[in-house]
Amino acid sequence: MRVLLVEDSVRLQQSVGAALRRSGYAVDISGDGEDGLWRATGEAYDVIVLDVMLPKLDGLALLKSLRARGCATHVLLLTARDQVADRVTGLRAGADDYLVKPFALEELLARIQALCRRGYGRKDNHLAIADLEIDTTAKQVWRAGAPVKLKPREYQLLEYLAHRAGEVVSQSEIEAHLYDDEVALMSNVVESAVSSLRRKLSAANSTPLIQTRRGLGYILEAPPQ
Amino acid sequence: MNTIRQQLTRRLLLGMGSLLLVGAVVVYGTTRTALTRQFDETLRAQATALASVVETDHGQIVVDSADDIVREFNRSEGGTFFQVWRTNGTVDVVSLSLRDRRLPWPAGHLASSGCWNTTLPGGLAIRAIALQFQPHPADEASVAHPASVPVEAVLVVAADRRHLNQALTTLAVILAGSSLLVLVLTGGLVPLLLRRELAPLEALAGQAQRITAESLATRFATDGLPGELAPISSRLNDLLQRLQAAFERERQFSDDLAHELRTPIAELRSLAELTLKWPEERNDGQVLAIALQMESIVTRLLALARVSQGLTTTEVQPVNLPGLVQAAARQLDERRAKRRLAFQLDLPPALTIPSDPTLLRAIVTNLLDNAVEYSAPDTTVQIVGTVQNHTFQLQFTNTARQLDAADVPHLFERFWRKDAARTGGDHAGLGLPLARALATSLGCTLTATLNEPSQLTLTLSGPIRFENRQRPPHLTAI
Repeated sequence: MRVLLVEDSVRLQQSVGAALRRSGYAVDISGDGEDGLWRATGEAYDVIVLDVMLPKLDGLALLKSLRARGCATHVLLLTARDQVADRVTGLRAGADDYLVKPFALEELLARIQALCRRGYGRKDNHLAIADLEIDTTAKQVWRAGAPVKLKPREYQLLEYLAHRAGEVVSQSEIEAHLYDDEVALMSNVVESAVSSLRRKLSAANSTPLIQTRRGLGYILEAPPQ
Repeated sequence: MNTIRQQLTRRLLLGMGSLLLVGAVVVYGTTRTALTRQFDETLRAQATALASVVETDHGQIVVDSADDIVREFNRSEGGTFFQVWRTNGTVDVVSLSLRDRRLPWPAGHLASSGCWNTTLPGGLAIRAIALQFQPHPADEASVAHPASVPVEAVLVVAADRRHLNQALTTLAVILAGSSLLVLVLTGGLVPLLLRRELAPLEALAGQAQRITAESLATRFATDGLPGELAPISSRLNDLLQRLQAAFERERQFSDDLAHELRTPIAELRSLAELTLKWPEERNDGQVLAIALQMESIVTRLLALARVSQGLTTTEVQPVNLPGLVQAAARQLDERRAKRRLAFQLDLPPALTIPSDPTLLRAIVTNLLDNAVEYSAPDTTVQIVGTVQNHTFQLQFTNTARQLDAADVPHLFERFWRKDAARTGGDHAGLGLPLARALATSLGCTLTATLNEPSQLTLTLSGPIRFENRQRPPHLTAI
């Protein structure tokens, strides 16, 4: 999952960015409204965390501009303004959620996760494909009842494929959703991640769940009976 | 509740009632006097006419009953009466209208020759007049008679006064009735008129009652108001405008304060939670920086509050201004060098002013700090001191490309920042308000001007001689 954090406080950029990366998200950070709008319209983000008071272009104007361009990415507003009228204004401008500073980091992460889930039309935190089970809150995976230990990036890849189970997901889509600007992408980074994931998932059951569609991408689906 | 309308109604009714009562009493009294006088004159004329027909005949008092005047008195149902006494009290003649009744002896009324009220036996109310005279003899010959002695007679003439009393009673009833009617009509009309005439006042009161902290943008109508209310409405509008501005300032202050404190708290909290969850992300340097930033905000706010409330004590003593400015400038050397700025000082070396060195140092530090923070890099900050007309001026000039003329009036507002997003935490917009508050507490002034091209000059002015005044005027607003 890829998140854009538009926040002018350098310290919050660092701490929230670190927390998101630690949670397995790919995170891009922007320090002002104009840059934030440019990034939001140029990349495919699952969630945008947007501060309201921003230099150059304020968060609400950014949000309105984004919605006017037809961008449906889920947006979580982050602001020091706590009045009901401020929250209503933010939500009416097109925000999907609103969090007042100071906030609990866990709550921010939970809300971002909920927004990611909503992006794939799911309301529960439990994904199951054949004998594969994923708890998206605890970020734990089981195959044939046995726990599978994954690295954050591998987990994010699996969760992304699971959210889109049955669909062919192209390599570029995976790159766009899982890798932020800080990762120097090499041509085989997705390929090696998929390979590692396949290896770990086959430990408990050798039946492959992730198939390669040559020239198209990857598909996670239950094996034919 | 005691309203103006009720008070006016009560007082108008009371006033009108009193006027009507006095008017009725005067009219009644005047009419009564006039009617009684007329009655008395008629009675006196009758008595005089009757006296002319009272004669003595051989020592006897006689009245010619054939005379027209006497005939009037002799009608049995007549309302006029007379009786003639000798002065010794013996009755000689009575009118037939008295029948078997007798008039009372006019004791005490002979001397006054006035009329008086009395009653006949049987209760008939009458008014009487008494005359004492010597009747002339009926026969002129008897006058010459040596034995004839003049007779002294007392004549009392009376008339039924029931008509007079009835007329007066009728008058009293008419006066009382009409007064009451006028009073009742007034009682009905006055509230109606007052309600209509006081409607603008009630509308004004109603509007004032509906004003709350959320509706301070409301203004009272001034068109079509009576002359007495128009100035009140106008003053209320002025007051509302000032109140609204004050509320706006307070709201803005609260918003700004909330933002200035919420942001570092949010930073601190997210850092702490990040460290707890992933200890390897620990960053104590950032925590310290946030704590120092919050400390700076709180310290400045407290200082501002203290100075604004006149709680600071000033110890005025001779202060060498160039020395103080140089010391303050040296403190900022590191930050100045980082921004590649130069300080250019032009101060008269012997310039000594009466001031509190601690507070003055705080002002100068704030002004230099402001210049270092907001000057464009690779520029020079000029500090020039001059003396003119017993007043010193200390001017701090630096480039401020981000400012325009419209920003200058806001420079001394608490938490004002050019950047609406309030990005960057080291300056919360409290330095200049604090410097101005401190300057005022020292009896100095601090002003700002923006000159082309983008040169901001902050000028601190104050007296260079000691004054008798121990304390500066107390600050009321910043």
